[in-house]
Amino acid sequence: MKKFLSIMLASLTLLSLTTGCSSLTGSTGGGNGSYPSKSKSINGYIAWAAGGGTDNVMRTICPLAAKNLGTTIVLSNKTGGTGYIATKYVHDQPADGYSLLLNAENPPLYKLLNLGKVDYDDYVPILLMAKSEGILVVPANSKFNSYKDLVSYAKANPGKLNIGTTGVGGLPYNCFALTCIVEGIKYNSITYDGDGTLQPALISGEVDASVISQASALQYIATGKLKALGVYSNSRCDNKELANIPTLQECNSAYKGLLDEWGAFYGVFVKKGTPDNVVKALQDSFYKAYQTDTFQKFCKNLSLHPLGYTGDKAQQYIKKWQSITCWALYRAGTTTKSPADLNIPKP
Amino acid sequence: MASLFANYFNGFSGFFTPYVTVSMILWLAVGVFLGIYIGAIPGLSVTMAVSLLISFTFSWDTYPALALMIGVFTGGVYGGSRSSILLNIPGAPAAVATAFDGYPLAQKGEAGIAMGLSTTESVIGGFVGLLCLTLLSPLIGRLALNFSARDYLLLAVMALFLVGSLSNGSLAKALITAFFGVVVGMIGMDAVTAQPRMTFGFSSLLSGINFVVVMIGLFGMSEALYQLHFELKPIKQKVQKILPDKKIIKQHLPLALRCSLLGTLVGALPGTGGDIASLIAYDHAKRTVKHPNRPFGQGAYAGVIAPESANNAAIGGAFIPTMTLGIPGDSVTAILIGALTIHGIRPGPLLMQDQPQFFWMIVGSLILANCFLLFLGLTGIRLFCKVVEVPKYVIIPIIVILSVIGSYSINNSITDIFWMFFFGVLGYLFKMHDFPVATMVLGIILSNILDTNWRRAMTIAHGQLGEFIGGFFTHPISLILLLFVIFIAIPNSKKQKVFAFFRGKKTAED
Repeated sequence: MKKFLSIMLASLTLLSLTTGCSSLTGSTGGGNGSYPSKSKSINGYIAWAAGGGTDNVMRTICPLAAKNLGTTIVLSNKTGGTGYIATKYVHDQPADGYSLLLNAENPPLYKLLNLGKVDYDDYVPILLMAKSEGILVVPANSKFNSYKDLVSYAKANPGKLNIGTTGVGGLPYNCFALTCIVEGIKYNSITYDGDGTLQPALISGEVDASVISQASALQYIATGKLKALGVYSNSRCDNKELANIPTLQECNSAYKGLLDEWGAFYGVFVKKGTPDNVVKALQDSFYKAYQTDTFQKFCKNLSLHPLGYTGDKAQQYIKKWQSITCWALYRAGTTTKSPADLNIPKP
Repeated sequence: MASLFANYFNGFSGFFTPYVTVSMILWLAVGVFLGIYIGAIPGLSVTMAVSLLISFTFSWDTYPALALMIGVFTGGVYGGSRSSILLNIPGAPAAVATAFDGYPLAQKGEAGIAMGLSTTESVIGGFVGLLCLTLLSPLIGRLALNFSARDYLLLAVMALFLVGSLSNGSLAKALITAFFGVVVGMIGMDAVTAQPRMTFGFSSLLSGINFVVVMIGLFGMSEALYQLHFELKPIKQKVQKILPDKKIIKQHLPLALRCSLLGTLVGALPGTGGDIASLIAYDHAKRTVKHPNRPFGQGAYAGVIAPESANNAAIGGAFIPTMTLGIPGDSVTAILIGALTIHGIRPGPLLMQDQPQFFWMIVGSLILANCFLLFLGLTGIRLFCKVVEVPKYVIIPIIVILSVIGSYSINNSITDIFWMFFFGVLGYLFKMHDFPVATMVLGIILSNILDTNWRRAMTIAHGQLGEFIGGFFTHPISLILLLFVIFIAIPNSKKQKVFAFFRGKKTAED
């Protein structure tokens, strides 16, 4: 009796488990009919950790876009590899518009940094929603009071300046590579696993300098915990607390042309080959979500610059970013491959 | 120092908000209750629950949403201890150390006492952590900030000594599994050089093998296989005494206080949380409690008291850098910062300056949640005890299913399930041959901290060994921690000799 009971229970369990399995590829019955289909929800894969900058932006805009589409977007974080894991994963899914890649500015660097073979070339941009710029900061009691101080120290003591970065291909890393090729300085890179460990190191003075986003910089500069020396942009910040930080272009005109529209950006992407009607539906709903007061206010609070680029404009923006950053990384001596091998044009 | 506390008590009126807002009281209670049971199910973690709640509460008002998440956090950290005690499967990384003595207690029929003890100590630890949060945030925040890479390295070394403590019998076997754990922890993309290590070209390994998956496999799956092998009979539980003996609590109060303070500090360090805190606390208990009621590892009460008070104290500790600096103290507070940001509030020094009542509101909520934990944590203990008495042929399949669901839920990845099975079989083989499994988990937890901080500290010292060593003597925190490490490393026999020498003719005990 016991044996029969356990066999029954086991088979029942197995059967109930199989009903939970829907094939990952999804029902082909979706076809060219209405998108999105009422029986399927869209999966959004955020390439970065919960609570971080990308996660915040995506969790704010996706519910708004989902309402426009009339369905739900299920968000999950698939982190790792500077965003490569999510990029590769979504690429392995069918191009039917039910898997969205929610990533930041790093994918154009993947091929150059040998992280993998998939990047934004294999994706269609739905919307580039916002960008943020890096601010060069030093601890409050640092001996550097201006960009020039920092650069002259670095030139006089090559390799002695301790710079905090969040890893290869992150915002501080890219910004300092840019500075390296413009000023010709050599510095010592200390790697942290993210803003959460980099910022304490900056405040306590463990590192001499770094670059952080405007949103984070705002609270530390306004309360005197950090000093700002420059902003990696061609125009000053809008917030009154940050408005008197000189742009790097003002500090050194050699930056001209390199900082236009440059910075960290956030975007929604689908795999290339997704049907046109699906892409159009997604673009319309995300753009409408982008225009809402909720999202615009969110951007303002975090000092993000709204972009709202889609289609060709988005592609151009990404290509320009790729060309500036890849060549900066290569010329700063931080990569083994040359962008020329990947047919990336010079900026 | 006075300047740190100037204006600190501005906005204190915010403290009372949770007590007068009915919706907050309701959601705090619901959150704690949910958190306990989510934490108690192995594989469902607090981190995952809170990140799901962000989307769930997206359209809510800020305060009730916050109350729910704080409640789940508080309940969840405690809840993990339940499955540790009952099934030897830690419900969360912070509950790993609780299994060391909690499960043997259940094996001896004292699961009820263990869970009751765990509840009370968690509440005590929670209050100590919150007291520090309330009164000492600026100070502890400043202290935590000054921890450099060297200091993290020393902390990890201190936790590493636990390998010796956990090696019941053969130190060599413990070292082997610990080593193996360190190696497994290194699989993945290296943060510094962005080069894959030991991934053999698989992009699914670029982020390494998730440590919770390994833990579920090594503890849960292997335990299921082990029990299948030996066909153990379930033990009848004594369920009369749930509220632990006041004498036991009073006797161990100094230990609980020490471990809570330890937990608060470790929680306040950005990047480390309840898991490290409970491990260091367990090690501390093992070294300082000379006459436990039973030997450690076989059901010592101190072995449950220490980690449980530490991991709940770490909650209060984790909120210190979160609120005062906007830097998360652990993974759950990182998600909370995200949730607040979405609601338009940015925790950090600017918020402390402009809206101090918000900080006090959070403090008030945490304290209320801790009170709820005391009441709700003592519910259902009798019911849970019955779990241990369920016949094995029902509970083992359930454990297997929960392990599979738990491993999948972390990253929505089928590969994780396969890894879980692999480590389950590995853990089973370890157990069959008396290789400790806990030291492997220790190795994995510490692997990243040791590796990253060693390299970071050396890079800051420009690769010069002299500069690196000099750093220990020019920074007070590093010096103190170094002395601690040396003190722990000296074997007891030598220490007794030194003490005896200083005490003159008095003979040393033991």
